[in-house]
Amino acid sequence: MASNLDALIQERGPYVLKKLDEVLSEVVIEKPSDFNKTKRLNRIMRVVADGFHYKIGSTEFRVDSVEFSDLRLVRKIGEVIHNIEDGRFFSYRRLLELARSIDPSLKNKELLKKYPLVVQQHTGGYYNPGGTGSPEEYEVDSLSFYNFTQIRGAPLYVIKNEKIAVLPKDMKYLSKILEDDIKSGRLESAEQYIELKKKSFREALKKEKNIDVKEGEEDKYGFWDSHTGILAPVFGYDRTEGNLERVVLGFLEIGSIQGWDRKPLSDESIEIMQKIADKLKIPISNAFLAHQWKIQNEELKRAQQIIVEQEKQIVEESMAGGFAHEIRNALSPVVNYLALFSGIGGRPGLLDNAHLNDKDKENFAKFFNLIRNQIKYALSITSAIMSYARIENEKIYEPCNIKKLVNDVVNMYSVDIKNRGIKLSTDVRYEGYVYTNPTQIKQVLVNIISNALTSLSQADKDKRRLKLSVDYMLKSDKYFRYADTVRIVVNDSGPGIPDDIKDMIFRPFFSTNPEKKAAGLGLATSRKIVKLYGGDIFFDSKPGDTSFYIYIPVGKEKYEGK
Amino acid sequence: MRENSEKIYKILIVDDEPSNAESLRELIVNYFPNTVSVDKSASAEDALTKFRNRKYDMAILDVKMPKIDGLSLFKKFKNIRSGFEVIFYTAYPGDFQTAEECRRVGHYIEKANEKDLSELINIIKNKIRGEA
Repeated sequence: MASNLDALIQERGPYVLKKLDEVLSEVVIEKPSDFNKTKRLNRIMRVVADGFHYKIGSTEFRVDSVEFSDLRLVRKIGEVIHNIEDGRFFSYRRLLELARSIDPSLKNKELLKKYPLVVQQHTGGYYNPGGTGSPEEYEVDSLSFYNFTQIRGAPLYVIKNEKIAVLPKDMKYLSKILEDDIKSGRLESAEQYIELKKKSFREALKKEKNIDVKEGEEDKYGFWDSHTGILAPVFGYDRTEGNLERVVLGFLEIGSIQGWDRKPLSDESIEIMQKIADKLKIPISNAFLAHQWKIQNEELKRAQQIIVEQEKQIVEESMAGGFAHEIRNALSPVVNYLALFSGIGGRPGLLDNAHLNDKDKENFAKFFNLIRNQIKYALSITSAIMSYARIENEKIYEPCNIKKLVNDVVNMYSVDIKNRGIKLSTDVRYEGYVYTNPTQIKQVLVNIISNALTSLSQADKDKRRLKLSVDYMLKSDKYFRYADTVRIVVNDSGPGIPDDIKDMIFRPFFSTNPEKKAAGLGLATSRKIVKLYGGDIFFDSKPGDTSFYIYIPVGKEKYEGK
Repeated sequence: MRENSEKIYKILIVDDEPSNAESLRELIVNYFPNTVSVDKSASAEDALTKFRNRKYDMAILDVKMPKIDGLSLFKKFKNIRSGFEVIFYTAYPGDFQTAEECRRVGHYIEKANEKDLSELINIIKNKIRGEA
């Protein structure tokens, strides 16, 4: 029975290798999407993890994670270590250059010789904010890269035969690793983290070995060594961008040297682990390919979507323009004759000079007015259609003070609100800006608030209530999945939107307002505007309680990037 | 007779929609029955011939016509003779760029817009007064 990691690897290694061969021969990968379906990497990693999982007393031996390289993460590594070039996977040559540029003398050579596979000494212990990975996490869909911090935080040293070691004990790097956690308040400082680790180290030694370790003397008992992990690099080929560069695809984590029981791995164990690592290169490289394929597919779809939208926009605009032109042309003679008969700009018309009795004159004036109003209505619809089609032309990113905007719109309607006996409450909890076209956002608010007022006029006078609230969303909510968004809620106590028209209210030309003769473009326009900035509008409605939720991404980066 | 015809303010309306030109002509003539003479034209060729043959004081040009736009026609008029007023008359008010170009050289009014129509009458009135 194995008594330490070295023994475990030698005892279980051959079995794991055999099982890996079986699994690898089972599934044939023909195209990148196959990889997703079979969740192959998941199964493969389970073989490794199950094969090595072993417990003696309180000491658990595990080989349970593969650290995948990822373009994003490698880029981060690059930033932390050395402002590295273009964020591609590290090539072996690049690693070598990097190592030399960081430390030409390559300290700790002795240690490297001792652990020629891969030795990683963490600057502050094994920092793993995502928790210990379970094999379930190796879904190709997400390629869980959670635990790369070990590599991120420290310079990489390359030793011969494509072996990597990560070595420094440097607080500076640890702070970099922990930066996010410190920023978010999960941790006060890197020092605090190490103190916590040292404390649990002392407690463990006391409990298991009955050794009293004084504070500050942890290192004498192997504190840093106890946090030394061993990683086997998986070298393979980066095929994602059509080239065949030999790169580090990931790392097979073999385990950590267990403090007081620490022993270097034997050559035999190292060879076994390297064999296992080699078997992983194809599935991991496939996973990358599948991942890349998926990303490219999504990008392609997005690009197509944009083209379709743009074409639609051009068609809409030219159709609306042509339509408006024809209608106006058609109505122009009508207006001219109307002016001829009924006068214009205070000048008398033919009718005023005609010999008619007063009653006829009055009737004619009335009829002409009706005609005039109908024409105005027709023209207002063409204008509404024009502005609906041209919404995108008005897209700009400007600082827009939401609080002020809401107050402006409320003031616009204040007389109306007062006269109709509506109880108004506003609750603006966001004092900042959104970066959009303020005129357009104002239009959205005007549309939605005026709808609410129309609805409220149908409610009992003592039950008329309008609530406006603005808040900032750090997280997604039930309607909207993007954070860093401002949410405006307009709630009214009107009769609500009947179920049978709920699907239709955002459609252009849909209107339930018979008196006001609306074009039915208010909500369609509003939603189109908000969507232009990556936002959206939703609503829920029951009698006496209707809410419209307007989501507007803050969009500061777009403003600054313009 | 000759003296008399010189006092008359001469306007040429060019619009590919005959009913538009006709209704506008009637409106103008109604307000200035003895002082204004209005001709109309539905095509660029006809308009250019008319413009060559008669010394118009004002041209009212539709902005968007099938073969030629109002601005280009105006430039052709200018090549024949300068010293006339131009009013662009549009059914497509959404085109801000064209509107700006038109305003640089003359007046720009919307079709089917009573306010603009009233302005047109005012412009003619002022011109007649100014020249009287």
